[in-house]
Amino acid sequence: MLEVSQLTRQYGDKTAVDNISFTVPNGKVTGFLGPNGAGKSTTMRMLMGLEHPTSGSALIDGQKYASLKSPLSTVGALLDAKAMHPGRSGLQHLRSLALTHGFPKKRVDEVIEMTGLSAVAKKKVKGFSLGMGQRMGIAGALLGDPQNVILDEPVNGLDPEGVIWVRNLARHLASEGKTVLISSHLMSEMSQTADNLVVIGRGRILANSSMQDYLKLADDQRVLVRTDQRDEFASFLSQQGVNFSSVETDGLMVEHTPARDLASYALDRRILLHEVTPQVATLEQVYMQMTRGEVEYHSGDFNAANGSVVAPGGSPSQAPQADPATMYESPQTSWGQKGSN
Amino acid sequence: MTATTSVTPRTSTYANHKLSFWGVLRSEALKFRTLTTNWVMTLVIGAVLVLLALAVGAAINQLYSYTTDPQLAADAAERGAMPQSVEGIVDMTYGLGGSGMQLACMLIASVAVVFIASEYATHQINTTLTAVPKRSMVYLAKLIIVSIYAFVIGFVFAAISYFVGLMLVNDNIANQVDFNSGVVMNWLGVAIFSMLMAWMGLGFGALLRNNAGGIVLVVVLMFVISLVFMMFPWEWATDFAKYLPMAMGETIIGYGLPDDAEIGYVQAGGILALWSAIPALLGYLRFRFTDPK
Repeated sequence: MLEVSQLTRQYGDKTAVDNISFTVPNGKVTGFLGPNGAGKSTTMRMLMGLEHPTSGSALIDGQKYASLKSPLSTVGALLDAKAMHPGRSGLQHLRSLALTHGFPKKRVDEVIEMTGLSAVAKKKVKGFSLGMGQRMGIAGALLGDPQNVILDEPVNGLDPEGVIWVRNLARHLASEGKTVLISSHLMSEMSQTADNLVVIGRGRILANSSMQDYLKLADDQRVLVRTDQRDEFASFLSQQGVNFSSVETDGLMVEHTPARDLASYALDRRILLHEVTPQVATLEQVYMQMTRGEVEYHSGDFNAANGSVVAPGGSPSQAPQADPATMYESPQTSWGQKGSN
Repeated sequence: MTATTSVTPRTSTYANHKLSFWGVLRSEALKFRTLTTNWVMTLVIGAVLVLLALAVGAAINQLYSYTTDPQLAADAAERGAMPQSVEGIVDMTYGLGGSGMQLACMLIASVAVVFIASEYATHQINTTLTAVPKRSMVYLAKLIIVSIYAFVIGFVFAAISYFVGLMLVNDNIANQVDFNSGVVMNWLGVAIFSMLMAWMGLGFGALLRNNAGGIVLVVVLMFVISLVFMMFPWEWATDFAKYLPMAMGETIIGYGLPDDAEIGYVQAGGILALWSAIPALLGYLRFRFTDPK
């Protein structure tokens, strides 16, 4: 179990982590989300004893990392895929780690095989791709068969097979009762992997809840209905004072009205609805909504009309500003198709 | 906030494998020997010591020729060269093993600088300190590894350089050399000088966390400061220059100190150890108390 209590880290005037507290329980995958510069990596580094907190504590199974008798079998961490000497082979790198705790050589071979690096283990790290570096970093994290696993952006640079492997690995570790803390910017991936979420912005905790509870924060009570008698049904909804908008040629996106009520209205008026789908917000949408004001580094908006990039606060006079939630993933692929996680 | 339900995790298969200093020492030894650059540098250090021993061997022959040919001696005296007695030339021969140490000492220190500073340059330090969160343990292990390395190569290369240089020396001189008259002690002096340079290098490497910066500091302390103090017109400056690390190193590896020498071997070793221990200690403090980035 990882316990962060009133943790603060300051660099001069800048507060990177601001009095945060959360617990990462055993047997769960906890996603650690936040914009760039939010303080995720700093928090993870403090958990691993690489940075001293200005105040507060970061404990692993109730102890400071530096006081652990067997650090590698207590916590395995991937914090930086490039944290290896490029002049050494992957095998030598892992053996140097194994020697510190007296792990047998066969364990090194096991994690190499587990991470799919057998073919390149004897090659120098400088020839590794980012994905191979990530796999090597994960191999190092798993070396001691640790009870707690901390992975900072583990799927960066991984191919699809690798992404699925990391997801399955996280779920497998959690199923063994282990603690898994993963940070990632890939919301779709996180939504499939994490049980709980800790969201951080500008060094402060924005949310700490289960995935289900987090998605409910969207306040997104919308229902998509489709009918061949759209105009008739729309007219009725207008009379009832219900807000809605048209979707394609036969759909209505109705707000703040339960699906059961809509079906009942239609039945009373003998209107056939051939789809009634309550909408569930995606993790990305809730996350973007929550962290919009907490982003440290703002990107310019891409103006599709002329291909120019407009800085935030500029005057994008032509195309309307894109909803950040729709910039990376088409909402149509998730609206109505995604079950709750 | 969510109430967290905790389950008992499966115990790690390796929970009984504790972090140990012996393990860290073996790990650092593996890390040291698996870097090609260290082997290349070792060959360069060996080459420097052997080649300079050969050069000194040739110079010894030249000096010996002055003792056998009065005309050559007169010509040399005109050029300002100081003719040596045969005994003096034999003493020079005993010191063949450490002939190249003025240059090699900085290369040895550079290996130590790179051993620790490259960990920061490559971010390997994050992995190292994750595996071994007790930072003092890591630093001490690194210090021991570079000390053993420097001591061994200092001794071995001094011995090789001695024998290779001796092969070039005129037989009339070589036959007067008595192997039992302290040659091995001279190699030991070279080994100690070499080891103390490794301390200095490791200290500067840890202090600056930068390969080039650490090496520059070594060069400044060993060469530049000596030259600067020698150029000062004040007596205190020239007096102080006698206690600078390069002068101490030269004393340690010199053979046959005069009876009235101001600084003996032990004093020189002690003063050089102090010069080396200070950067090593400062490096330790930086390593121990400043977080890696």
